[in-house]
Amino acid sequence: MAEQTFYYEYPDGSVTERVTTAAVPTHPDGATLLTTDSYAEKKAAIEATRAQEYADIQATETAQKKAAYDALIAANFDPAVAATLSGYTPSANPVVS
Amino acid sequence: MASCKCGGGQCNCVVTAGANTTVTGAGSTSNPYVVSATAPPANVVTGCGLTGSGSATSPLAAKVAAWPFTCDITDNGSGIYCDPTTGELRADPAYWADFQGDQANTALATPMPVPTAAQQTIDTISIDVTNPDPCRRGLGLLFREVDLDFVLPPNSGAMAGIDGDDMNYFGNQGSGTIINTHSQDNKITAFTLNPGETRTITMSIETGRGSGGATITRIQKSLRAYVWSNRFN
Repeated sequence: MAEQTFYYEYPDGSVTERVTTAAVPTHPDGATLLTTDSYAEKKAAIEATRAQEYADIQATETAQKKAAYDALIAANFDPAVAATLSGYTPSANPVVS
Repeated sequence: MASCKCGGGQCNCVVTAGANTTVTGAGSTSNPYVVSATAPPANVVTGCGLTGSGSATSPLAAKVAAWPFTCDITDNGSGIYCDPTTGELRADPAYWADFQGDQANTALATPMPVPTAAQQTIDTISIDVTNPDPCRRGLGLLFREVDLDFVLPPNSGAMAGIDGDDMNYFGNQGSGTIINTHSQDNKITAFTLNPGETRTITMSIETGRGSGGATITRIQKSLRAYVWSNRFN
């Protein structure tokens, strides 16, 4: 019942950490065994890619919300109403010059 | 022994052996009754687990504790047995317990679009569970867990489930993307195994009802089985 930990990389670049009690584990088809360090490196690379994607998404969405907010302000909406309708709050999204 | 009508070399009396005696012969002159007596041991030394002197008033017996339970001993007591191979006394076989588990945490290199159809199997995991008891059935507790990380853009949705059960659905009706919300569903169920039986248990990881560009970025799956051998209904 002792646990063993294995690290895999799949052909598409996905990585897996597996913990199993199997005495003679069957490894997934097509998977390559990784060392602990190699797994950590590849996993960090995937997470860094995701983090950049999320930052890009949030920057785009924030710009869209600010544009909506600015249009509402230009149409003489109260700033609080404009913030509610647009989802953009100027104080929470300071403009960095 | 006149009443025995002895004559002609024989008698008609019946002689039976009492305690610690034996009787041989037929009562004839050529084959007379012979009564032999064996005196019981004056002092019997007992080892661990035995008590008594071997006399009629203190017979040798197993030295046991009093039944301490309120339930009926006849219905509920276990047995003591003689091992014909070693000649030793044996009790009921020992109880066993075991744990088998397998879990995997996969970071997808490329986010997986959530299928539009419901309950689509995207992954599986299996474990071999054995009842280590060669004598009794095993009662098992199976824990199944699936945790999917969803990225949900505005106006998107996705479901997660286990083994044909659509367990939850997430929808984003806001104006911003929800990053890596977790489904983390689990089930606990019971199973039984015959003595020494090994069974392969497989879990299906399911998702579906994808819309609006919903994706999966991480798949975590876990199967854990706890097995105890015991008496149970």
